[in-house]
Amino acid sequence: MKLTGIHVDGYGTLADLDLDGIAPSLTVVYGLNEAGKSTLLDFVRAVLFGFPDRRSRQNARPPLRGGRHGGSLRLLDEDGRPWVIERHADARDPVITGPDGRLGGDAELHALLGGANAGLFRSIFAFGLDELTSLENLDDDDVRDLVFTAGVLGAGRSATRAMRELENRRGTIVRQRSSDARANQLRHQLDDTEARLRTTRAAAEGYASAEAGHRRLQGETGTARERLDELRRRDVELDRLRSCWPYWNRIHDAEARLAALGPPSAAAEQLTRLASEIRRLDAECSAHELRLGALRQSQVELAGIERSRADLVEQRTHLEQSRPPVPAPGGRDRSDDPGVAPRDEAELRRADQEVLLLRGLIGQRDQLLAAQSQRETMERLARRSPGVSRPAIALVFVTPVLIATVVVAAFEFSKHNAALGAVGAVAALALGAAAALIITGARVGTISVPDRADSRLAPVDPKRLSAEIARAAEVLSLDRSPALVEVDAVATRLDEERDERRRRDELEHRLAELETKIAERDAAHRRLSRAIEAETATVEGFDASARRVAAACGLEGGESAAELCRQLASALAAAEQARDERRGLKETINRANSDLAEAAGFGPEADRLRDELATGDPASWESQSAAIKADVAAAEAVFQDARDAERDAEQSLEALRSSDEIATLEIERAALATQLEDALREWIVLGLGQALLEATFARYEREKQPAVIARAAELFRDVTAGRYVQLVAHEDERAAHHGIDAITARGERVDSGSLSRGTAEQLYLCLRLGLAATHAERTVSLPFVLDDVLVNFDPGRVTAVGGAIGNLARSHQVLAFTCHPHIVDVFRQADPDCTVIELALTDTIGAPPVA
Amino acid sequence: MTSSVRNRGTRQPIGSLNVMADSPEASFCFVHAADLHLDTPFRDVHDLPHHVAEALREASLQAFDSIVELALERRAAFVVIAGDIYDGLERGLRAQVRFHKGLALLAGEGIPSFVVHGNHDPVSTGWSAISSWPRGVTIFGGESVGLVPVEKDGAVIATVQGISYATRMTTENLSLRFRRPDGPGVHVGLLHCNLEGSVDHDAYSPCSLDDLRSARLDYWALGHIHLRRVIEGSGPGNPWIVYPGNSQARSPKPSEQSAKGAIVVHVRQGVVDDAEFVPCDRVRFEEIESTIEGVPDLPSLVENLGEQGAARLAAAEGRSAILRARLTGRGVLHALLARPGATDDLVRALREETGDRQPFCWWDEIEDLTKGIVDLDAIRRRGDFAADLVELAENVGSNPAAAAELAGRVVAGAPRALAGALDGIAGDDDTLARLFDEAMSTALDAIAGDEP
Repeated sequence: MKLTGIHVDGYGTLADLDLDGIAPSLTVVYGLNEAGKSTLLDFVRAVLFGFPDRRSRQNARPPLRGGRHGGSLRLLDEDGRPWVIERHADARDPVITGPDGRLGGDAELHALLGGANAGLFRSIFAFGLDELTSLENLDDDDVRDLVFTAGVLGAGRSATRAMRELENRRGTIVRQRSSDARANQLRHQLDDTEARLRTTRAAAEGYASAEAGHRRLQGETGTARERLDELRRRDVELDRLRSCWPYWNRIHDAEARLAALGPPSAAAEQLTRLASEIRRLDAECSAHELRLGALRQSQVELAGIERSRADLVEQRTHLEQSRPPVPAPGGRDRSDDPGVAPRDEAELRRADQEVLLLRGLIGQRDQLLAAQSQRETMERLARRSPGVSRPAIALVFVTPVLIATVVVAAFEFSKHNAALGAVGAVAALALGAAAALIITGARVGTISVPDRADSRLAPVDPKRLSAEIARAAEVLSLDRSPALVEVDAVATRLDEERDERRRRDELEHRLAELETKIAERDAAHRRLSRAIEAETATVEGFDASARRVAAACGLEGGESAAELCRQLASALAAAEQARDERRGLKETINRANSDLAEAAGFGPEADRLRDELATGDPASWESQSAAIKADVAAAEAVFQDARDAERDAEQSLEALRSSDEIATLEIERAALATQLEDALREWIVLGLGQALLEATFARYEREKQPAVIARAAELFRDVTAGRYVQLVAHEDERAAHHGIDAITARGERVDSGSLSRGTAEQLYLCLRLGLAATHAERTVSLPFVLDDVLVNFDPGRVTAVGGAIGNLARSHQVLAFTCHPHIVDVFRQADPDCTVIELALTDTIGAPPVA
Repeated sequence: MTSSVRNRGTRQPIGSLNVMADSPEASFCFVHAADLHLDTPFRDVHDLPHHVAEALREASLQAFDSIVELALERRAAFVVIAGDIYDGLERGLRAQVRFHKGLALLAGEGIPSFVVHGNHDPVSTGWSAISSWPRGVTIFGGESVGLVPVEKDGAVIATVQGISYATRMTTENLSLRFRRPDGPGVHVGLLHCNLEGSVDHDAYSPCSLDDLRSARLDYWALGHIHLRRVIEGSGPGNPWIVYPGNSQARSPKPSEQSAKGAIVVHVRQGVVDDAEFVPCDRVRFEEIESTIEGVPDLPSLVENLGEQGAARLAAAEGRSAILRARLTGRGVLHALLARPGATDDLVRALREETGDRQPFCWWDEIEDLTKGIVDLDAIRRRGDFAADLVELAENVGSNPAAAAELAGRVVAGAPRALAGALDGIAGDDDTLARLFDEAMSTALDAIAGDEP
């Protein structure tokens, strides 16, 4: 597409302007400032692509000098056919009139523009100075496609991504200012470990001084201990002094008393030697005196015995004189001779028994006789009284006899036995009463007499009874059949004989007693005499001993032995007391010495103690002790502190000696150093990989850039007279950001942003020229409209750029707006056939081209 | 690994040893240790759990304790320690106290000990917490070669001569100061030196075999080289020259791997007869190299590595092991291993398998040197961006200057605080070439990851 004419109805300061004769190659539109060059550029853009709406920041440029807002462009398509594009702001759509007058639409317009949109056209084909210098203006997708989608960037994108990946990986290892990166962290840890190691080593190296310090503390502890020991020793010494003092005093007192006692005398020693003898004598002294008393008593008693015996002999004599003469033996009749000696008691009892028996026999005889008489009576009665039993009758007869017999017997018995007399009497009375009762009963006829009474009485043999009586009577010197009275007379004689017998026995008894007593007196006399004799010997022996001992002990005198003994005992006691006292004092001294030794101990210390005891200053010791205890407490505190400090130092030393901290830190450091080295090695490998990628990429960029870049680079090299030999387009791995770097002849890569303004403008101009050419090759050729973009170029670059544009214009329509005559000249120099249109300041357009 | 070098030859007694040949003192043993590096900082280990860190912390001290126990157990006539008792100038107090205690223990048992300082703990520097040494302990000074006879039951059975490093930078060939003196017994030279210029160690007090032989000693008790080395002696002018190696490994470096300990030197009939190595270490460092070729998946790789780790632990004879794996070869696992954190995950998986049993088997690191199944020729033929990348990487990588320049530019972007740590990482050409190789793989992987 090529512009052939422009008609402005009204647009900004332009009104009813018509440019005709626009060359198909280079047309230079010259105009002073405010002539409307930029307005005209905007007008072309607006007609082709539409007026900016109100939301756009672009100026819609409403007509300031009248006319309908808008206008038209006259152009030829690629085939040279004329088109008119008319657009007004008040019309919704442009009016496109084709070669044959047929109206077209957007499709025709799109085709005319080769698919370029407003952005592309504005970026590449129609731009002013402001738009030239910004790469962002090339960010249009189409532009980017042209610039950045060539083959290098496909590979470049991978390379970029790879480099970015390596860079990222490196960034995790090392960063300039980050403590998060691995190596940075390791370095930090390593520094920390090394610092700790230095500190620990410094502490370890302080071992020698610590050891010296420990020795010093040991010395201080030793000094404190010595001081404490000294104080304690003195304290103990004072305590000992005080505890020894009583012993010491005791010894001295005892020694003084011992001295006062002096040594024992010879007499005392003699007494002591004879102590046992004296003690025996003394012990026996009382016995001696008792014995002496008893001797005297015995002598008195002996005299008494002698007197008593004489009295007894005299009594015996009297009794013997009063005793009847003893009858001659031979049958004297006692009854006839009162001088006859009475029978003895046995004979009398036998006679009594004979009497009693005889009485009984006589009684039986009499009873028998009476019974015989009674039986006869009874038989008579019985015959007259048949209701009464025979026994009862017999009993009536017998009972009184029995009672009488019993009573007599009892009386006889009671005579011989006074003790039982009363009882016998009572019994006899009872029996009598009973017999009387029976008899009474019998008399009243209540008692029957058994028949057998007769039978019991019946067996008595009268002959035999008589014989018995005769025999008994003979014994009693009676007739063969004495009467009971005779018997009673015999009994009376027997009683008298018994009394005589009793008196005689009593006299004999008294004589015998006297004999016995005399004999006893004789025996006692003999015994007592012997005893007196023996006691006298004993007493005399004791007396001799006492006197001998007394003489030995220097005691002389006529005192009694007992007195001597007492004197001896007293002297001995005194001697022994003195000895005991002496001994006690010595024991006291020994014990005190022993206690003192125990309390004071032995050796020099004890000697010193004794020396000090000798000074005897307890009050001073008391005060010293009180003071020294306070000193001990203070010294203990000092010692404790010193010992604690020493122990602390020892523990520190031991901790240093046994500390494995250095080794631990060394290992930690070694591990960290290794890890750091590994990390850095990895970082270097990644860096080298990245560098290889970059270097390869650089080479790739150099050798395999897109055609646009290659063309632009060529132009730029020409424009910069070879200062920059290459352009490199680049983008990030996501193709989100792009850039173009210029490579100097020395290979230095300069980012476009780092170029000078003029050079950057030249770079971007070259890039647009290249893009325009490429666009033309791909689709259609669009007019290249430049609004005074060369103003910042130095003369040489202006000429060069002018030449480049001139070259472009050979194949591409170029409209160059400028307000600078020298630039017009440059274009003319580049293309002598160029068309120059001068844009006047006046409203009237249509001035002829400058020749 | 236990190494015992037996003297199979028959040697005649030298010098006055003839006099001693029949005496009972003529047969004895002594212990030779070096490079204790007590309380040593371990290097190239990664973050360690408590039980592993604790074991490492104690390892060097316990190894020294084992040496003392060894001397006591063998009733050694004396003990020689050839330098680098401590690791650095900042010698640890714990190390000094432990060392003093050990020597005091020996002295208490009537076993004299002889010590020289090396480049790590020269006489003039560092600090000493020890104010006095027990009787029977000889610390040789740095001014001149000291000479101390060792007596047993009134007879001299050996003479030990030694000299410490006065300063760290001791480049004088100190061996030339040693001379066999007149006197009976075995003559032992105690020196910290770099024999025949071992490239893995700094060239302190460099000397040659001839230098050592010219002293006409019987036994050179050397230190400095951590890799055990025994040069068997065979008579006058051809002494035993022994590096016992360090007593406890301190890093996964090749020279630090396998068993570490001390040498028990057996003297029979007045002649050095045998140098018996006795392991005294507590923790072994082992490196496992494993290819991923043919390994189908990561579980299989974990299983392979686990089996190899178990075998190394079993070989450590009850000691713990710190393992490092180096994965090599090409295989399908490369892409998986190349993912960020993949090797860390692998290490974690192995650690989970071993747990914290004692003795432990700690997987410290896995180094991924694998390559993908990438046909670089095919890439080159593609002529695309990747081809350009490969071409550039190879060009730069093969050009040390260009590589160094590029590496320098990369490193230049680091914060100043990290500058020191970066020094030396890309120090030599080989390392740089390997870095570039890895960088190319990384870049290719990064591009490949973008491909649909």
